[in-house]
Amino acid sequence: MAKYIIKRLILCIVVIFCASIVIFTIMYFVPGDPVEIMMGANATIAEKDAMRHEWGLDQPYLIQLGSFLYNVFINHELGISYTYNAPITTEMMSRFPRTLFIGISCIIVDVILSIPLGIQAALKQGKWQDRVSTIFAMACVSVPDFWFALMLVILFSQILHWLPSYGIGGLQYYIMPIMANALAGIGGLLRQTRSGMLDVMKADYITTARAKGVPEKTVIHKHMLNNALIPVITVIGGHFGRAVAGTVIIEQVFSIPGIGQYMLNAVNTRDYPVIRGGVIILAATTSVVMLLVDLVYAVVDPRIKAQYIGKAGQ
Amino acid sequence: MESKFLQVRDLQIEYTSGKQVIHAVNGVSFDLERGKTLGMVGETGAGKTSIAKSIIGVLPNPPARITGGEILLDGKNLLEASEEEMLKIRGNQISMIFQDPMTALNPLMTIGDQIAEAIELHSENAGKHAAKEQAIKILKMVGITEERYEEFPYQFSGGMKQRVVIAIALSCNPELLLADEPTTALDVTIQAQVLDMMNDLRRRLNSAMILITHDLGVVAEMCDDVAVVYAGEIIEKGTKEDIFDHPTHPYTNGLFGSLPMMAVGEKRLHPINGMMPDPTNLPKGCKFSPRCPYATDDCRTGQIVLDEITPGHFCRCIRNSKEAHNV
Amino acid sequence: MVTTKTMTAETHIRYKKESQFMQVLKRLAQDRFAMTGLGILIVIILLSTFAPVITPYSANAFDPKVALQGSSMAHWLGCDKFGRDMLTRLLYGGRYSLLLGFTAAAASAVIGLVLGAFAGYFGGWVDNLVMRFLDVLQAIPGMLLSICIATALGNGFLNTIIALSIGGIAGITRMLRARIMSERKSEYLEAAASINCSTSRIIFKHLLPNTVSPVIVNITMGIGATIMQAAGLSYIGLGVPVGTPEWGAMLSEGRAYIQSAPHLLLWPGVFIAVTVLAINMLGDGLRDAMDPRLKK
Repeated sequence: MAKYIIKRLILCIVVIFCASIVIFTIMYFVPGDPVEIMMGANATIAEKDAMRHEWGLDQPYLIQLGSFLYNVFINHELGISYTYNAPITTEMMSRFPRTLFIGISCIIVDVILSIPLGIQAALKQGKWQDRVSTIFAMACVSVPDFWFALMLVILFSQILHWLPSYGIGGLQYYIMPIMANALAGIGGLLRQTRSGMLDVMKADYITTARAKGVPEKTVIHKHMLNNALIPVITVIGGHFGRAVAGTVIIEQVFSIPGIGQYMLNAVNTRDYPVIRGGVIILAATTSVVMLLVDLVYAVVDPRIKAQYIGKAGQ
Repeated sequence: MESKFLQVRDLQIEYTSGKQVIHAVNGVSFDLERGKTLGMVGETGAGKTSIAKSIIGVLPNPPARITGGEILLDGKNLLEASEEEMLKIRGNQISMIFQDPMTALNPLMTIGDQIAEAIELHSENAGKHAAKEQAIKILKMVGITEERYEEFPYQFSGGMKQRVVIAIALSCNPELLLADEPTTALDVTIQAQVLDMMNDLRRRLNSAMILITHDLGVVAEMCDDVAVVYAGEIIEKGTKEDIFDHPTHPYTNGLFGSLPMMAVGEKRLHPINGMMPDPTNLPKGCKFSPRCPYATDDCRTGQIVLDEITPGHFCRCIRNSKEAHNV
Repeated sequence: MVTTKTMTAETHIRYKKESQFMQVLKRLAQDRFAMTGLGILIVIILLSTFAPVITPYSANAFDPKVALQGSSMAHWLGCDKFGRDMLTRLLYGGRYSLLLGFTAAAASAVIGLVLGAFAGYFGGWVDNLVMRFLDVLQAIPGMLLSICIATALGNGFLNTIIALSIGGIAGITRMLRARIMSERKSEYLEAAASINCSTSRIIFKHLLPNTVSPVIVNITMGIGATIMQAAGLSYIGLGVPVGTPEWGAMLSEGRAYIQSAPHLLLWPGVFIAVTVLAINMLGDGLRDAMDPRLKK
């Protein structure tokens, strides 16, 4: 198992490394000159050239790429912000916990709400409970999360005065951001759980269990649930990626000083190193979570576990 | 009058799919004595599996529904039994061996636990430990070593999995064993092994058995009585000798005609022409009439009943009185 | 041994000679849920197409007298900060949002299908190369990738389409490849080959119909997701240029008036949600229609 984890970790680093190259390249080859945008028409050409030289923007592509990768993977420095002229990594790290907190809370909310609902929907297949949850799931994935966030603000902050509409502080500041960001995930996971459960309900081994005289409740808990939830585990990693990407806009809506807000402020000033750095950090986080999910998957499913340990069955 | 061990009376089962109603089983009746084996023969889709599943009470509802008849076990009607009563009967008095061992086992439970589960549910001195010991004993009985108790189904071959399924079915010494094509999914070389083992264990426990199959060779080897099922009806039943030595119904004859007979030295097989009728739209009269070479207008319109042609030998055909034994 | 085939209800249906495509349409037409979605979608498309005929206002005409006004008889859904009629702008906005959604989803579908077909059909190193590249691309969550590209390219209709479509390629490619890979091993293809079917006939008659249908459903659902992403990009100021009557951009403009004029935020979102819901309903019905086994 340890060998497998190490192998996966190395693969993970390689993927992040390549992703960094892709991000750097996209930001490098596209039109739009940050110096032009930042210094505006007031600066002289000489001043702009000096600026470019200072940031290394006059170097050829490969040199710039090389020094970027060297800084990120050896020095662990994502770069210097054009706007603040300050190291990005420090700033990112102070913001990272908030973004991570929102992302992880979203997944937890998703799981707590959608899995029981999905199971109920499958067990009541075709009845009104099933139809209601189908419509609910579809509504969840059809509503833009940032708009839902705005509606929450109008309802809970402006009309009811229950929750603060922006900023950070106690847990109450995070309730609406988490609700808004978890929305799409609830819908997706609910449907996944329902279809996983329906597949299992038709399985022959469920008939075997019933034929043994196992009471229906035990059949559901002991034989259906774990089999139905295994495929659901695999998609949770993907949902985390989506939840993390979602924080970018959600943090903006609620003025939460996380990585997303930092990135979006950088969008307006064309502060490329910040955007690049944010994407790399969030992508790395997503990859690590996906890896963890895969490991959980391996632990709960003996078939997968056997593959990884290398002790294949006869 | 002393009631027989198992009596099935006029059993009717329907499946609903959308607006269509499929008449899967249409008035099936038969008896079975303790310790005896009844072979149930017929094509895929004739309704054999539905009959077995209705006896043990695991028909999926919806879409299936038992619309009539009764199933008496020691005189007690199982169709009217409460769910709690059925839980005690299932896996204990009646157990079932399923067709496809590849999918019949829970992939996330060790095979040992799957056997022990049934024992724990039904034995008097139900303890985890006692159940495990009993499970190991049964595992050995079906020829699997104790070390494999903690292994998962994916580590077993098809034949070995079927042994586990059989072990589950026999774990509580059932009085009635329902075997639904227990060897169809297995290699021919393993089929005989598994059948022998099953028959041997069944004899030791003195269980009655309903063996569903479409393999007449298996029937010849294992069964005392035979019922031939066609389109949800029994069209001929009797002792093995009745059916094999004096097959009467044209369909039964067709079944034998489509077997290769080395001894006779026939050059070609005689398949039964046509297909089983659409179960949503069964023909009037004799269900076999569209495929029957002897069918007359009487066959297509009249109600054909199951006649006793010799003591204990029943046939659902209007020709049996005239030319029953000279085919 | 009995070898005669059973005639079940399913095979019975197949005996009717009808193309697969027509069968799918027929089943789809019987799905009330999907037809409701289609109906809503058609209404929205018609409304935005004929917006100039339907509304007496112009999408960009300023009228300071009615700025930030709520609903009234003259302006059903109120007016924005410049006094532009909200309903008019929403109807015109449908053009942008729908066009963005459909073209970006179509673009990623085409690229994804070509890549997936290449990878799946050729296998070997081509497959390896494509898949490793996708691994890298998928390590970056889709919306973040779109934000990166949109930042780099700058505002604009075409730029938004590019930014949105790149994010959707990986999913479609993976799905088609996986389908082709698993179908390639199926026995019915061997069966077709064994009766001397030509390669092109195998690909077009057998392989494609069996692999593409789940991908089509995926693409349909993708349109809805893309419309939401487009709105998201515009909301953070990365999509269409400021002032365009696009639904996301309208939300962005209304953000400052969340206290004084919440109707500026309510209606664009409702339009997005209803449109996306309609598309998802249609996509859901399409999935059931294409694979009747899944229904029930």
